[in-house]
Amino acid sequence: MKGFYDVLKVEYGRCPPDCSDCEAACVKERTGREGCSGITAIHAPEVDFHTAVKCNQCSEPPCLAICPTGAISKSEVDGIVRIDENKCIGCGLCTLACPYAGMSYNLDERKAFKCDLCDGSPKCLDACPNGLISLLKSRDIISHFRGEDVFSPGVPNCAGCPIELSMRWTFRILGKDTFVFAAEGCSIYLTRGVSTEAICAIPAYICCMTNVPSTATGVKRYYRHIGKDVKTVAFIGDGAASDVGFQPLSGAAERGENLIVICCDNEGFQATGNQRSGTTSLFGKTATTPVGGKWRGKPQAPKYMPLIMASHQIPYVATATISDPEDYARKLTKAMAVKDGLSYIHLFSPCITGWRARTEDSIEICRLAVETNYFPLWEAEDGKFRFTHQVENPRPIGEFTRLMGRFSHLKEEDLAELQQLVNKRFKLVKALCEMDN
Amino acid sequence: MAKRKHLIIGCGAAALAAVQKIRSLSQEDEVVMVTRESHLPYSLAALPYLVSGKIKEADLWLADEDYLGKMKCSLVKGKEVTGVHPQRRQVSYKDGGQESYDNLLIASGSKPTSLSIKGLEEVGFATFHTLDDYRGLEQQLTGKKDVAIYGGGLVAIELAIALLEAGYGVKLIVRSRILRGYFDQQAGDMIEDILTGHGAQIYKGSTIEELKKSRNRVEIALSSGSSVEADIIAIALGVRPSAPFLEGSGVKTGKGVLVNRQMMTNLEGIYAAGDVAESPDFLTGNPGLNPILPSAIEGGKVAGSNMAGEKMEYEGWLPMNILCFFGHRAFSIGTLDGDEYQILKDSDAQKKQYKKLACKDDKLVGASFMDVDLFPGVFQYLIRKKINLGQHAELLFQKPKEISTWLMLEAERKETLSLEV
Repeated sequence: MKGFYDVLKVEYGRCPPDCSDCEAACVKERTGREGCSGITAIHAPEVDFHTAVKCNQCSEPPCLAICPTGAISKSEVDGIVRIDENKCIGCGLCTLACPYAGMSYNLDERKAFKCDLCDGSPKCLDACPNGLISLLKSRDIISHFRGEDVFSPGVPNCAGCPIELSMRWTFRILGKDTFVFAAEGCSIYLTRGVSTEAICAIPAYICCMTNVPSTATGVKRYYRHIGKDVKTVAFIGDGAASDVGFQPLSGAAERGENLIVICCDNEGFQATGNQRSGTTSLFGKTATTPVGGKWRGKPQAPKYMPLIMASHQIPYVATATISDPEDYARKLTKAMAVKDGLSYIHLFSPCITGWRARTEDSIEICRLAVETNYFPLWEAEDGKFRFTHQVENPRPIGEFTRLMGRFSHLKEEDLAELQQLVNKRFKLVKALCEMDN
Repeated sequence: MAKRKHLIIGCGAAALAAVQKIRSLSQEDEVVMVTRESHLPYSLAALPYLVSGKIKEADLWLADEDYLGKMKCSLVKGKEVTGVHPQRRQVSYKDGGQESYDNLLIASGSKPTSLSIKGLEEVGFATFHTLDDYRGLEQQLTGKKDVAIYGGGLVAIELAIALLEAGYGVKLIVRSRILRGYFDQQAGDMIEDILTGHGAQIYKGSTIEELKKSRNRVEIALSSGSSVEADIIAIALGVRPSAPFLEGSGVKTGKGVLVNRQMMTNLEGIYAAGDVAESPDFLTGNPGLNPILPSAIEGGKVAGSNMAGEKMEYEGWLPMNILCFFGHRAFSIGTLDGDEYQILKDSDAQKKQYKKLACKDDKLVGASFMDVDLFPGVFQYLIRKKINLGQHAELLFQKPKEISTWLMLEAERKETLSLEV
């Protein structure tokens, strides 16, 4: 696997004064030649600095570029930069080129030499009395999880949060040759591994909430410019898509950028503490739309993002949720096939913590959102609307709201009002679906 | 973007660096290198080691067919460009052919400085610049004992060292003193002592007045009045940019082909890099020549990037050099002489140790060391990144290896931190 290599890590500046055990181990167990160590102990008591330096195995090694005989090479297999001693003429140019103190030179032998990670099991590791040297096996970790899906286990999302399942499923369908762009929101715990060791094995870039589609546009265009077609996916929350980051999304859609934008809608700024957003449900209780006094949750109706996006006349718009994974997978496949514009998928994703729901109910909430027509599943291909899941006997909205503490204050008349809103929105989509038939 | 064609004149270090950069940025573009020579790409820096026998010709090739295939780069050998026609984006060849391009890189390198000395043609002198020159010299050397070298620059000294190592006698005729461009008098003298110690004879402050053949040997009359004899006379008085095909093309030239920080000439789509280019100096920003390998690689990279459509700026060249010889290592980076510089200097003639630092406004502008255990590249880092030495200049001078590494690591750490904040 190109690009993922093991790295020898030294905790810089923490060595014990006057210790050079790593150097000694390298000479004794690796090079066997006095004065030839691939790791160098640096002691500067004057500035209270004690460390060891070694080659960083650069991705574009300046030593390799300058070598006049091609004696230096970088392996595509393990990423190690090696010197072919038979070809080394000892001209010293590599020592002049390396800025990171990674290239040493032996005057007597007239040869350059450097760390080659002992071909994968560095001898300096055990020699360090303080355990300051370690081999980061990123290659193993990533290759292990790449076989399965693009995210390692151990994500810090709340218990019961369906985002993890949704994202794993999303990228299993989209494949590994994908660039993902994310912003502050619950999904970056997977894409970035915030405050955990979680690893995302595909290129992931975390933008500001206000510029995700613009950033993705730049990368997409750059790759097109150099002749590569890459899948560019923005996986963002409803805050970044429908509120603070709406303008760049609308702009990218209108310009016809070939991006896949997935809006993971948990109806609020949940990662920052459950504040309302433009998609928060009518009567939904949040930190900023409380219940009590004159408040009864959010007084306004939510904006219906999928239809707003469909109004941009983009090639593909769909709604999806993880209780219907096959439906979602088909929609992702269609979104991937679009080459002449933006595709937008609005993914309904309950926030167990913010919505005050039981952890085991997350999929059930998704399912009932569909079954009550609170969140109908449909798609619009080139402006042609179609239900992808017809609900024969819609359940009353009360079955959906009773699963969540955020609606526990609703009275009969509130429920009726909410039902009316749901019906109205459903009728609108239905009319659009029937329009072409 | 439509597929473009990048034509590169030359196949040296700058050309190869450009090819690699273009290919890393564009899989589709067409890349063609044209060289006058009939060989695969090789490095001029390796040639002295052929003389000393450290490598064989078979080890010389930097980019073989495999590599060029991987880079999807075609190499046209033995073809000489005779004209560039920017209006129709074409070059013409000596054999009458034409070739069009979207972007042109002039990386045609340099040729040895020519001079006229009485008797020069008659004695059959050797130059030492290309592989063919080396082959010519190698032929001349058969059965010979000693070589006189006219010149005191890096090529002359590298050749002298190689010949000494191969067992030949060497007589160096130097107009002023050796390696004047890189080392000061004191360091130059120390290097001279080592060379003399290994059998070289050095005639300083001498120019050649006349050359004469005498009994299969060359008799060299010096300006000092004395005369020297040797089997062969080799001339290595430095190099000059070589791009005769640019005449009438409208490409602006000064001492070399003038380029801006994108390594582009005055004409859009025409770039130059390597020995042939006159590009900005790192410290002053003024255009100048700097025909050394590190500058060629950096310039080629920048040119290649801009040709592929990815804007990149050349930081500017720094004079630098490293000489590893007879168990010694001397190097110099940057500028070491100037009234406005703070100079720290010390030498130990006994141990053949020498160290010198030049600072300006608390920043390093030059470093030169001989036989001091340290990492030369770290000093290049300190100069290029304009690291503030603060009150540590003296300490850096006293403990160059440790303090330079510390300054480098601190700078790297801070750079990372500043990105995180």
